[in-house]
Amino acid sequence: MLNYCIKRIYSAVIVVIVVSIITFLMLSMVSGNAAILALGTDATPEQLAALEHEMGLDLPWYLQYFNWVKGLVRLDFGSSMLYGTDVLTLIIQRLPVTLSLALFSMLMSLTVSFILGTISAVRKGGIVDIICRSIMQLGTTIPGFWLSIIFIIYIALRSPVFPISGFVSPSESFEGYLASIFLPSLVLAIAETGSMLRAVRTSMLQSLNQDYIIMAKVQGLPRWKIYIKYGLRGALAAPLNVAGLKFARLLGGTTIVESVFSLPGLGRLVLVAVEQRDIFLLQGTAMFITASVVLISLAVDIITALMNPRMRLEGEQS
Amino acid sequence: MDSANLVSIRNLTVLSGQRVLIKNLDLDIREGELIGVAGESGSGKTMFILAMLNVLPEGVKITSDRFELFGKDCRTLSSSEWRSLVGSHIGFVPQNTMFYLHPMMKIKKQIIDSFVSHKKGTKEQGLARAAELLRRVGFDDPERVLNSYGWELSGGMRQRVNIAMALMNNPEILIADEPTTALDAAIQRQILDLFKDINENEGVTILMVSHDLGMLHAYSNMNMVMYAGRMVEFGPSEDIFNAPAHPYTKALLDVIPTLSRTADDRLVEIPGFVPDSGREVESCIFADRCPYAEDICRQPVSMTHIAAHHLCLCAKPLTGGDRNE
Repeated sequence: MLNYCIKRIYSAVIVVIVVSIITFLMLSMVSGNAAILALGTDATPEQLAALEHEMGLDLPWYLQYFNWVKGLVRLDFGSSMLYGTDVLTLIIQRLPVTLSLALFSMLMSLTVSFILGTISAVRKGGIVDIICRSIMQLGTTIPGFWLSIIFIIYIALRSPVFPISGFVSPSESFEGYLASIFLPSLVLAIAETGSMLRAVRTSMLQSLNQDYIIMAKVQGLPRWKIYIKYGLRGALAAPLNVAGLKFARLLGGTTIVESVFSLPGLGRLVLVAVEQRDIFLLQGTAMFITASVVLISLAVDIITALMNPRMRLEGEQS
Repeated sequence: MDSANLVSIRNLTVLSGQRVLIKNLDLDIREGELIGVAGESGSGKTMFILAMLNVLPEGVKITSDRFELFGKDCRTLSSSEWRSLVGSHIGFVPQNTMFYLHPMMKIKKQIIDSFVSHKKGTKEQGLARAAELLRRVGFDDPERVLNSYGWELSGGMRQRVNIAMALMNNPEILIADEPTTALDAAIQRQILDLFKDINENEGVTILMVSHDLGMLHAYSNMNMVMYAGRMVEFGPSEDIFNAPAHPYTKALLDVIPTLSRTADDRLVEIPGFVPDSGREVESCIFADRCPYAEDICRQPVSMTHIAAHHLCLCAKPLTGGDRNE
């Protein structure tokens, strides 16, 4: 197990390093340099050269990269040219919104997927199974922005509970917070539930085909024990892994929903950075998001390994 | 009938869609018997067991005129009532030992589950009984086994755990599907001796499927020979092995290699294969492979009594030892 963790951490570090190089090179090479962007096109070559020197832009690229990484390690992501504040501060301000969206939508999606997925596997070909298969189709094909608009028009505009846009911080009002986060989370959850449901159903069907299920049936165990204790227990790993990766992906993938519901989250921060060519902000957020994704998938891998006694005990046996 | 029938089946037919897997099987199992079920692969032995345990694969259906377990008519029971009856009265020892123990559960959790679910006692009593049974099947350190996962044990150990698990609820019948396949000879012997001991000293009825006739000869007292989904012969071991009435039984016995065989002797085989389809015919299904087949064998055939407890499904049974030197 320890070996596995070390190997897994090792490869995660390599991924982060490679991603950081790509992020840095792409952004610093492509769109003209930051000094031009900061000063505008009217600046004199002398001013430009002075600022370039000040920002370290006249150094060879590997030294620039090295300086940038040195900053990252000290959690110094540079400062945004647009907002004039520290990139990390901006990220930390936006993080709760995106994190809430990701968490709530995953919670909704997981609950629905596990309940419906289990029933549809146990009663294969039954009504629930047919409904589930339609959800799998629909969930993945309905575009999020369209659904968001529909929700705003038909639910938020007509109901006093849900706000049309904006985010209420939980310290202000917890109910307000839940109401402000509910509809956007639902949109994301619907998009995720299709594949989540498929993962649970497939994994559960596989588990129900195992010999231990025959044994449980022969022993005359009650239904819930056969399906939950034996069936679901053997079917957890794959869907939880999928859920973890989905969660990680949501951290960088809520831009559309955040935009439609006007939520000040990470996705919109990235969008602004791209639109305004705020290179440091873009580098910082991109780095932050990839690092989080890598970290979360690392955590998911280790957790699923821990859940599997066979992996957990490996190497501890005499 | 000198003792009660634990199992009484009449005219059992197992169908997978339109395909006949088992046809018109009649069987009574009396208390205390150790019944061997013999036959080539594909003869329907396992399917028959799965039908009794009510765990047939999806799409496989059964029909019967009578299907009684422990005096209860299973045809009137719901699927879960049937399984509950099976769970509290029958112990099942599977063939392949690998995946019957849940890979994510410690053995102690799984072994007492049925015991507790059928309200035979508390968890603690279950664990105590499990430890006692594990000792009985030959483990010196039941505690260590209880705290292991199935995949941490060897095949022989797993099979012994399966047997202990099958015995947890004090079953009246133990059903074992090729319990010693893939185990080495010493462990085979140990397990079979255990079965014999349980049968003789505790009066547990045992139904043991095997294609190893030599083994069945040594251990069973009744035998049932199956061929292509039919029971072709049923009777006491001494009759079946010394004076088989059905040509198929005789053929099966003939293919057992003997130690007196010299290197030049060819191994005997039964020509042809077990037919997979066309099992619905009323005439003898072995006729195509039977060396004694005559015209009468193409007529519908029915079960005949050779002796009191000796049945044979053959138009011209090889009665007694006269044709069998």
